[in-house]
Amino acid sequence: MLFLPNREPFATGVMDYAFRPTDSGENNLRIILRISVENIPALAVLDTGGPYLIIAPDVANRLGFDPEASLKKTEIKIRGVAYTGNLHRVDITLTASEGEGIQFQATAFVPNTDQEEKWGNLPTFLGIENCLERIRFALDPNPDAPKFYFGTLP
Amino acid sequence: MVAVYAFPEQRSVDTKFFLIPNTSGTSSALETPWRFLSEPTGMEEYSQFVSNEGGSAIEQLINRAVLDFSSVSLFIIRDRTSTANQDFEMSLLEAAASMGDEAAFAEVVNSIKWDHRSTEEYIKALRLALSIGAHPQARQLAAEGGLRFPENDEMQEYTRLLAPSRIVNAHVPPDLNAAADMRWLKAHREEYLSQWVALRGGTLIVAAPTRKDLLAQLEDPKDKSVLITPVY
Repeated sequence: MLFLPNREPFATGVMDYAFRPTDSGENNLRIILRISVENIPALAVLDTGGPYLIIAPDVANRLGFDPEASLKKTEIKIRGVAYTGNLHRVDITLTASEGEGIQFQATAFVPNTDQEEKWGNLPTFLGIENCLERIRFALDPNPDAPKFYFGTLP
Repeated sequence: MVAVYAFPEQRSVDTKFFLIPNTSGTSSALETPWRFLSEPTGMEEYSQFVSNEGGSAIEQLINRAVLDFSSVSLFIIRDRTSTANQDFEMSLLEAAASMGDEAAFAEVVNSIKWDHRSTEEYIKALRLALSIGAHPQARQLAAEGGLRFPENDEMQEYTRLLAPSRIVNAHVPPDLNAAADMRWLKAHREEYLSQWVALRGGTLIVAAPTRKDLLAQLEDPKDKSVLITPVY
């Protein structure tokens, strides 16, 4: 689909993305992708500065995660607000509209159930470290049809 | 007699003082209340103590920081006779963690010679790293600890959780339903902005002002073919 100068494939799949704010109180536009987490569909914001897949509580509820199943508690700060939760390993799928999708296993942060109210309507966040670090990606920011191209590292 | 230690701090000029209680071990240090000193009194005296210290990596760091006092944010005071140097390094780690100072925490992690450390110390450092969100250091400790302690279940669990991501399948067939969902969200954004919607293959199943209302109306909220999301 996209190739490096040596003809090695760079991207083998592509999906549409949305470029919008994810909070009614903010102006910054975010890259929003349609992914699957353990085969549950979800929207996720590409977060190149963040670690892990940070799973919104509504998605975590659908996944049926038991907070006690992982005792690896940690804290994540999102937009200056600290959330407590636990670490898990999950399978994430980048769904392709053309070409091939990629399923990969990554570290996920699942906020505790008592954080749901504080979380509000924030989305799931797709970070780089321990998450997208094996995925090559490129953006076509064409405002009429923005595209997210992706492939795997060799 | 006390010794004073300091971390360089580039992010803030605020000066904080930090007192480590006289602990003979390291295990109880976290449970001991920390005492913060608000005034930078007696700095010359403290600096004198620092300059009298030996030449470990941490002390070099400290000496460098004290030379430029304006860049120092965290001082730790302890009874010089209370702990062995190795335990003191773990105390520094705990101090940085209890301050929530990720930069200081990273510096201490990098300065400790981990190949002399026990499983318990690795796990303690990992817990501290995760407690303050020092994720790169947690990952580093989990990777190293996993190799060093293959028989320790807890260490191996940290290693598994914090392992680099791994490709499971690079040939997943295209999902046209996902593309259809994105097209629906683009076409109907203004109409449903900030509402919760349930979509299947680009078709609206139900919309509601809150997630709770939406789930109440859905026939099968656990249906994995349905995208449930706020409209952004």
